[in-house]
Amino acid sequence: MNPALTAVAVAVVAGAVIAVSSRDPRAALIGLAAVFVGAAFLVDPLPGPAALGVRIVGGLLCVSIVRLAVSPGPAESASSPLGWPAEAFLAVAAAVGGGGVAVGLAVAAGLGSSTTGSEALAAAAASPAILFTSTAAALFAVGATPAVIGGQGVRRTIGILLVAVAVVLVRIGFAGAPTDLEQVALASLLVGTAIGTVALARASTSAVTAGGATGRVGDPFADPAEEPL
Amino acid sequence: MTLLALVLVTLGGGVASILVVPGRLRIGTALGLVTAALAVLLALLLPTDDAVATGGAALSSSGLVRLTALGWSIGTLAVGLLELAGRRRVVTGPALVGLAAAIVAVSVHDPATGFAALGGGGLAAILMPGLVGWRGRGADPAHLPTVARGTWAVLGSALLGIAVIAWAASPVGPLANGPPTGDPATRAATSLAVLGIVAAVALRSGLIPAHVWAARFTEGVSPLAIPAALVWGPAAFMLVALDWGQVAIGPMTLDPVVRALIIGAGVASIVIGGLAALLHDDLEHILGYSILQDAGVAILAFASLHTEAASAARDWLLASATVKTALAAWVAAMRSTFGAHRLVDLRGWVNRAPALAVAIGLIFLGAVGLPGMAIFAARFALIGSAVSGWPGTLLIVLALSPVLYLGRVLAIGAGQPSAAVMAAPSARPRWRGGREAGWSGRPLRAFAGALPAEIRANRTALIATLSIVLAVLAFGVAIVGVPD
Repeated sequence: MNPALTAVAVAVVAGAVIAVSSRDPRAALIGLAAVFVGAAFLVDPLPGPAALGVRIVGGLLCVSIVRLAVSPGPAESASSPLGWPAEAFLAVAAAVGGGGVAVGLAVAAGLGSSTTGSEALAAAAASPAILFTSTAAALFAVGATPAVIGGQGVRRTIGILLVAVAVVLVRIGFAGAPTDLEQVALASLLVGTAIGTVALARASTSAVTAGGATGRVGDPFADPAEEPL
Repeated sequence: MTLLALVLVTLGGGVASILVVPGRLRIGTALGLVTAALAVLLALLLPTDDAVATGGAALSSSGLVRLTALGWSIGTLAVGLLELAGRRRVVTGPALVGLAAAIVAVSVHDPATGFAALGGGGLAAILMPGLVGWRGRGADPAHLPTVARGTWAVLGSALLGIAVIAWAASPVGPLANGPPTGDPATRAATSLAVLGIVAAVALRSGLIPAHVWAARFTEGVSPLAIPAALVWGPAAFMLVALDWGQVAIGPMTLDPVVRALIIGAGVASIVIGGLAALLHDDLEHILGYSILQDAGVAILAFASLHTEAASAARDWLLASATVKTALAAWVAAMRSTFGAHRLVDLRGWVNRAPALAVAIGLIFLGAVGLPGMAIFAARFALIGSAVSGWPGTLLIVLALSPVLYLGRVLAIGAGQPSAAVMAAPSARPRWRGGREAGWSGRPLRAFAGALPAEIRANRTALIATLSIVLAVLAFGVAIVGVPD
């Protein structure tokens, strides 16, 4: 397994853990930046400089946009109630589990089929795709909970972005390196995700501040009046 | 290169318009309208065999790409002009960004790239009208949840589509070795992949049971925002999904359970959409549920993936998109003319606004179709490919419910005029006499100086004229369909 790619993957997962568990929004943004920049390098083979640049710039643009969701007053606590050790453990467990499932599927699909059982396992596990899939599983595990029940503000925003990056890594892990045009499209999807989540976070914060009716307390996205048609 | 120019112009102009409008309303509006006009021009000039290699992929033009670009750009220009009658400017910029994304998505023939582009490019059409252009936004508790759900629908559908495509094409997926063979395990896995894509399409299009956000969205935003958000965006998404089905899978017999689920979603959307459009008495709901019904017809193409069904689906998607764009513009024109949107308040409108009657008449013919028209044949082909026998015949009859809900609008218009209709300004054009007699430099300057006042005085007539233009375009596309 490529040691450089492995180091990048570890940095991405660490960045995700910091992003969801840090009490300091600035540290969370640094962690998020590590996720976006690192995820741009989790491709084998590496894309050309232009495509790589687009992914990196797009990622940093996402971080800048997320910064807008951070309240200007006292630092908003975006931290996970579990704390960083638990989040890190969850991420590692998800990475190992996701990677194990991916290895098993790869062996079952016949990768390394010319070798014996343990050698086939080793050959499959050394594939970069397994590393990307493991990283995706870790990001999804860390980001899913804040994405779904993260409340208003930056916590849900970060969770949704982590899930989006996880899907992008799944796409790369399963189907190989994307073309440069697809890299641009993926960057636009991530930037769009950042814009959408931040816009909604700021709108819900404004509504709550103005005393607008937004549904159940603590969840501005709940619809209080459903109509069947 | 025309294709690349079209993408760059619409993307650049759309983004610039979105960024400039909040601070400089007139400049941003002008930027959006000029870009839309340029997009129409480029779409007219676009050859059907244009191709450009960029970023390791090829963007190739076709009749479908050209018609999509033309229909969407003309629709954007028209609704952008119609939006001038109001105070907000939330339509043109997002529509242009969505158009750029759709052109890339439809011309690249790579579904992952297409879904990603549509996901990123389709958000503005939900966010801007939803957050900035919501009618009565401060007091409406459905405002934020609806916009949030629409945002998650656009993003979620794109991410789901990318994930399914990636899995299906992976070494462990059913399409790793090309189109599936006939063995049961591959067929089951392929059916699962198709179901995943159909779920993504259903989410994006607001099909039953994921229709609540779309229905609420239609209630709260201007009708002019509906085409980009709920018509063209989902149509492009469905075109990308169809292309994937045709290329990666080809015609095959799906797993019976999956096929039943797809047909069930389509039938439910056709039936409930038609019934809801018939039962609601305000124009926005009629528009919204008619769009839902159209999407239900189109989804039936995934039940078989036959070449004929896919071709019929393309005709249906493009024709119904242009017809519903015209209908959205007409609804906005009715609101602007009469200040009302409930049918009970619009009794007798036909005599007061005959131009709008002409427009809705053309829209009626475009929506229902006549034998020989592409939209008429597409409806029969799509339903026939999925449901045979008497249930299919019954479904075709239900899918012809535009006869009833649009016919009701016309019938109410022929009645005794209501108070709102009587109080509305006349939609007949008139000239206030801004030009002096004779031909010299002064009358021309006087004419130019009087033009803004004449436009304001004839606003209603101009709005009706724009509606007719869109209705004519829609009728034409409904006749011809997608050129080869």
